[in-house]
Amino acid sequence: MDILGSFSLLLAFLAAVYAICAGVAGIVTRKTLLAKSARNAGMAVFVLVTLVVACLEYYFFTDNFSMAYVAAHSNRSLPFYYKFAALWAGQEGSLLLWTWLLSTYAFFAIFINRNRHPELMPYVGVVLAGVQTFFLTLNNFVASPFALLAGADPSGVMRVSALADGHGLNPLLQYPEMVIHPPMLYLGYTGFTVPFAFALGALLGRYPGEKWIHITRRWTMIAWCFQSVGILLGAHWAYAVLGWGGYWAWDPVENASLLPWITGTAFLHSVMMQEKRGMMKVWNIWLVFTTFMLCILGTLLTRSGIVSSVHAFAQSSIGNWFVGFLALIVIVCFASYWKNRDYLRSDNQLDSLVSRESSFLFNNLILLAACFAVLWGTLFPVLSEWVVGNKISVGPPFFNKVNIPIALFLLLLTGVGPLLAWRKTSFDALKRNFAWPLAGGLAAGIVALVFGFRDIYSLICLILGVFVTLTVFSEFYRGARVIAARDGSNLVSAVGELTMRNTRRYGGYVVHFGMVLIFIGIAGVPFNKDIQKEMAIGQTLTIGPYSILCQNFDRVTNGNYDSERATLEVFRNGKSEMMLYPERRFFLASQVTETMVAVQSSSLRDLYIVYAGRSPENGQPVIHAYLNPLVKWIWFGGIVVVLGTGLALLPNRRAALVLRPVTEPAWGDRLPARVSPAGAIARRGEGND
Amino acid sequence: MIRRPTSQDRYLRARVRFFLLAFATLTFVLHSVVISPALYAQQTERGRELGKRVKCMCGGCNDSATACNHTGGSFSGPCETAKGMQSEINERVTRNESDDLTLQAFVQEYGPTVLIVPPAKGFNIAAWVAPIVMPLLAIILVWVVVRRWRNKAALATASGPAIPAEFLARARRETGRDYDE
Repeated sequence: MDILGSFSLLLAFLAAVYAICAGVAGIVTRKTLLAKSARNAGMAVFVLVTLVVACLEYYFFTDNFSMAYVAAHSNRSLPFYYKFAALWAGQEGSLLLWTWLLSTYAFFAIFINRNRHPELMPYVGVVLAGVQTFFLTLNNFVASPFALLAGADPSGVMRVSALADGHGLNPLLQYPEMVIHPPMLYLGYTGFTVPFAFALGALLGRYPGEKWIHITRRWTMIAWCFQSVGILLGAHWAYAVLGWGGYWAWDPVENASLLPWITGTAFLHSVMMQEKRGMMKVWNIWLVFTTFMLCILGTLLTRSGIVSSVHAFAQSSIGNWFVGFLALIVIVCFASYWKNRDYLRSDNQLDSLVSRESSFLFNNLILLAACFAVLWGTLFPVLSEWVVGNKISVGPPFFNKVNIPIALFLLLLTGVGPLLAWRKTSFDALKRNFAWPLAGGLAAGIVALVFGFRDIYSLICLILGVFVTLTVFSEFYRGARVIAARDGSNLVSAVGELTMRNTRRYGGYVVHFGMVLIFIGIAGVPFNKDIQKEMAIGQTLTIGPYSILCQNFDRVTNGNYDSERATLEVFRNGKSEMMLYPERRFFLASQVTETMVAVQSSSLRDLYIVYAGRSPENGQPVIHAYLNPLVKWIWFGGIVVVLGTGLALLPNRRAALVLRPVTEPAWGDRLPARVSPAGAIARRGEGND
Repeated sequence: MIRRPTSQDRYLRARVRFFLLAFATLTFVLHSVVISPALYAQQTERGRELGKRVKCMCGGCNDSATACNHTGGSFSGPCETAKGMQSEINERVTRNESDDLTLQAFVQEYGPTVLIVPPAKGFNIAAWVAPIVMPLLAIILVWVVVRRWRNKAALATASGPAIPAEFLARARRETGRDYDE
């Protein structure tokens, strides 16, 4: 058992290398057997890496403290679910998790398409195996999770030794969301490898038509959805655990997770231009390339220590590997593009600036501007040090100042875009579509002004939020009204019918609505309040409409931690509303203290209480209370985004009834003929959207 | 002729003295109780604002001295470094030093990295300008591309052959099955 893990890891590396070699040979010689062999090797990588992960988990669950990684991130009294999550608590394990998730994606991408796209899949297989080979190289030779602890015996001979107990899991990670946040985020990061592989494969193989776009659309949506969930879970974790009353600090690693999400969002929009109109082919290919590069850059930032971050792993030379890999990706992408650039010529041109095409163009532009601003701010300290030798900081005020106007403009486009027609929109149509949503938004703004809403950005956000919401609902209403009138059904079932007929479009609208909710939640930030007070038993603290009475302080002990806890009774208008128990835990194994925030969340505001510990001056307990409006809208918006994405992933009802998969030649066999020009034209003319 | 003060004069003078003393005492008490804390609060608020412009230099976070709220350690709240920095700011504010002077003192002690956003001077101007200039350039670029597209589209419409309806219908029949992938 002891060597099974490391042996499987080495075997997985060899299988990935073989998949590249056999794949390339298969493409060059056009031999079916080689291509099939490469495909099987690609799938075997998943099986082997799964075995590796199972081995490492086994070591965690059996408290095998002769393994350096297990000893560093676990201890005997750690609850089993945190032992499971300890797999990704450190550099080596999280890299293994990355490899495993990547191999899972690769397995499914290959397996699902094993009998389809025989001209494309060998290229895709090679790209996927190439990326896996890089990560398996790190797992095997740079950051192996199977290093053993050694100690000298009495005779001075070095032998494998085991600790009596491990050092324990970082207390910051001992929180339910930390069990799912990293895998979700990694599923996002690694998921973008699939569209990258298809895009690069299609470019290298000059695969005809827009088929790679059709294939990767769902993969991109899945990765995007995971990335969204990962980011939001990370924000929630920061909010609920770190105890600073906020959820987003523009930390370089947070920024790194946002970058591919932004370009992925841009791709999901601009891809429709290619599907519907055969436009923006170069742009789309580069958006996919850039998204993948930003994923690798994000990993580089997290693991190299080139920017200071609270999330960063210990500084190590592993960053150089990522720099090399990133450089290789850039070179490969540029070379492939340059060699095959004539393949990406656009078929159509823009007819009018007042059209959905142009709104997508602007949407992409604004998203890219946001991406650039975040990337620029994140890397500027490094750039400044490099250019003028000056170490500087770029903190949250910079990002807020630069990104808030961009984000608001994007919100505006979220409302405007869907109401514009393809090709050209007439002035009458503009008036008809925009009048009510615009009036609704402005009315909401006036009401908010009357009620003392004075922050300009929040006010604009509210107006735009209402505007976008009304455009979304009007889209549902107008479509459903037609179906209801035709079928004689009621409006609710007509909405269902409408949605299921075009899941992608209406799922997209639901995602837009979710984004509005998130924006409204963020607009509450300027109205945050906080107060910190030393409190003895019987004393009260007042914040907003709440009075908080300190009833007791007590201690709780278990094998994992000692905890000091406050018992607070919250009153509103003189009536007792709830009891809150903010805690401060001292984790025994790691000797680290951690706050456990007590949050009472409602749709209007969060009462967020931190037991900040005892004052060093007089030993008095200190309570830090925050009143954060509208935070719940962010988490609820996240759920709506996920539901919308899920909806968009469903096949259209009509398509599901009519269309059946066709049997195509197996991978490795040659396609009898390439897609006809007529096919390309028709595909542009119609689509699922 | 100088009139000798009468007992009534002495009484009046004593009352004036008493009222003056009482007024002075009251002023002193009012100053101590009401005005001074107001002044102190104002300075603390200014100190808080200044603290938001200075980065906590503990090396473990990217927060400002005011916003620092370290987890772990002996006291969760602003870490010792942030608290030290904030109290230095408060002292300087109490001495009525200007914002610039206070920030300059921190820059001298820690280097320019102590400022939470780079001042718009020298190379740092690029930090502020690029996020505005680059999107503008991109808009111009898109504008140029769109104009070229539109011109090409006009040419194509004028000269290009129309696709026959039956050809389009056939193409749709042939390729419709690909959509559900």
